Amino acid sequence: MERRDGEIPTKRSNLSDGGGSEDRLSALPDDLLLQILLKLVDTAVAARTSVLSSRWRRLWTLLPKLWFYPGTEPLAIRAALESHEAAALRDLDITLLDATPESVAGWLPIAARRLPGHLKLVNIFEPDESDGQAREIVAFLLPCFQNATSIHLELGYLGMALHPLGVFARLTDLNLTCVELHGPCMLGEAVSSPRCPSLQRLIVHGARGLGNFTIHSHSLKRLMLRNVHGLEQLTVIAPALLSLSVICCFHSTTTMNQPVATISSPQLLSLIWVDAYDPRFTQLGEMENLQRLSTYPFFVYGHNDSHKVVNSYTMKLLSHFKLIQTLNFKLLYPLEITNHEYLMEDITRLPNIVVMNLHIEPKAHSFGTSLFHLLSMCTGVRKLTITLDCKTSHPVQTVCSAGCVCDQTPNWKTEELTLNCLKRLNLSNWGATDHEAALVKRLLEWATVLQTMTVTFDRSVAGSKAKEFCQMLQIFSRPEICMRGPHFV
Amino acid sequence: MAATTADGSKVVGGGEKSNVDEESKMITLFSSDGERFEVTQEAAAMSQTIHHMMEDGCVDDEGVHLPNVGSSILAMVIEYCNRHVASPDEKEDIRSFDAGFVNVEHHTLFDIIRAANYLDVKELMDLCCQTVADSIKSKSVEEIRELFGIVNDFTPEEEAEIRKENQWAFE
Repeated sequence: MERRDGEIPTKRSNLSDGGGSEDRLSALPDDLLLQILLKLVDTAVAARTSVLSSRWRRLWTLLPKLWFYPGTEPLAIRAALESHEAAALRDLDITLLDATPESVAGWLPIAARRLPGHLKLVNIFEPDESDGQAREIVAFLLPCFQNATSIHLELGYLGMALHPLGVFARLTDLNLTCVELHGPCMLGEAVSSPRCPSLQRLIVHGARGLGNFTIHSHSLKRLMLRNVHGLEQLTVIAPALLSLSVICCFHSTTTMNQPVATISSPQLLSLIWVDAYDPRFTQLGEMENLQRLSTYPFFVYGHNDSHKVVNSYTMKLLSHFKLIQTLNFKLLYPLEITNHEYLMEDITRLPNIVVMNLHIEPKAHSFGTSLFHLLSMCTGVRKLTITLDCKTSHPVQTVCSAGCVCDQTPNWKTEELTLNCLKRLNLSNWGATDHEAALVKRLLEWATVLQTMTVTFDRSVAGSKAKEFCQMLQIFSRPEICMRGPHFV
Repeated sequence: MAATTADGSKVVGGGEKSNVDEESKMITLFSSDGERFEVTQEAAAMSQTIHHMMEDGCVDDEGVHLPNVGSSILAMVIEYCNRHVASPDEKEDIRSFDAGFVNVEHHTLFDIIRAANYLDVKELMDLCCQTVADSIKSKSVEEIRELFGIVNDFTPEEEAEIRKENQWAFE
């Protein structure tokens, strides 16, 4: 709009801003205008306000948080960071599309120098035909963030190397998702105490190039390693660690490495080990305070070696413990059982279990036999939750095929079991079938000191059927047992 | 929705005037222009400022003086708080209430922002700031100036320089 110098344009009357031509917006103090600009959630849009009037010129540079979206040129991010008021910046949230190492390297060092808060960098990777070409530069260098408190990188397997120097002095949370790690600096060196003295939570979810991970950390409280492809050796010396999860790293669909691991975390409360385990190579050390343990799911029936191998990990891991406060355990059934071997009896003993959270994916089969076998080996259980997962079944199927052998040896129907410590029984997401009814009756007979029973049903179960089931239970139950659930009267 | 009671105080919202009401203890707020408002403690506590004063025992029998908030704006803030504590779970209703609530002239909206900031009512701040942001979001610089009456005090040369400086944002 052409304007002669010095002329103040007449304000056109605007129905939505009736009354006065005052600019009440610009009269708001900086901090309130910044709150409005923050709601734009887009740095480019906020930066455009710089040209509104002199009052607005540098306002956006005081924003504590900057967002950048796919489509923003890397040079633009750099320019924005350079114009921005260094002291004001706290958090950065950047999403890129098909970033290259060079483009990231263009602005990351500036961010590293200035950022005192949280960095989230997501690279959306779209596999492309032309991506087969070798890149000249395969990885960007992650600089040392001396002030950042939290870094979350989801890189779509963009190559990343770690700077060998510098201390991440204030970093408490680090999340590396889908990263491809390049040397020479090892991840373990970068995240151990000397260089990450405040690190409390570390997640590596999907990684390549991490064959050997060794971390020594005095501050670490939670560690999760998941899908760390090709992991060959793991060493964790973390005296303050409370929670450790190792999931599909040594053993996955593509690898089967010896689970060479040394863990020293005597304060550990929670262990999730859904991975290969071999007491010859996997040293878990003393975990006297362990409260919760989760293992691989157990294949009730198997038709190939891999099922037996995975089951053996679970059994060996369980043998490491004498007592488990809370065990999270899952039983998996296949759709068809014929030509499968019944593997449940490979479990010959269980440690002393106080609380068992059992998940069963029955795929419409009878599960009484395997449940009986399991319970016969942990008769000291005090609280038992049995959750049925019917979602993975064929939606229409409610009974398995005729002549199925799942209930061929129904010892649970006739044999006795003394669960004389079991006080609380939760049945979660059940289907109100006849098989289940028969099973619950037996459970009530075995659990002679039962005090409370809670029953909930899967969403697909009709209200009337659920009520009928609960009525049957109430008749069968004993007066001292408190029955709980939405379908009980 | 305001009714004037016998002693001249205004009761805003659905609550009955009651000085000693066990179920919904009332608190008195005074606007900058001296008007009295009776509010339930629960609604008043949506203001972190007032909430902290109540917790620290700084609220005496007389009530709380709010020298920074005028009566018409205070009435609106109270209406917002009353509505949000009344049925916090009815998301659909609340959403349409909020939409109607911010459908006011800009200068009123800005006054509410100032009041919500002073009183520290986070949800109201978020709502009003988002409303203003939404009206900025999809507009050109000229449209924004026009909408809010912002006077362009740059010379054409200055403006061109700033556009160049922040070129990356204009592309």
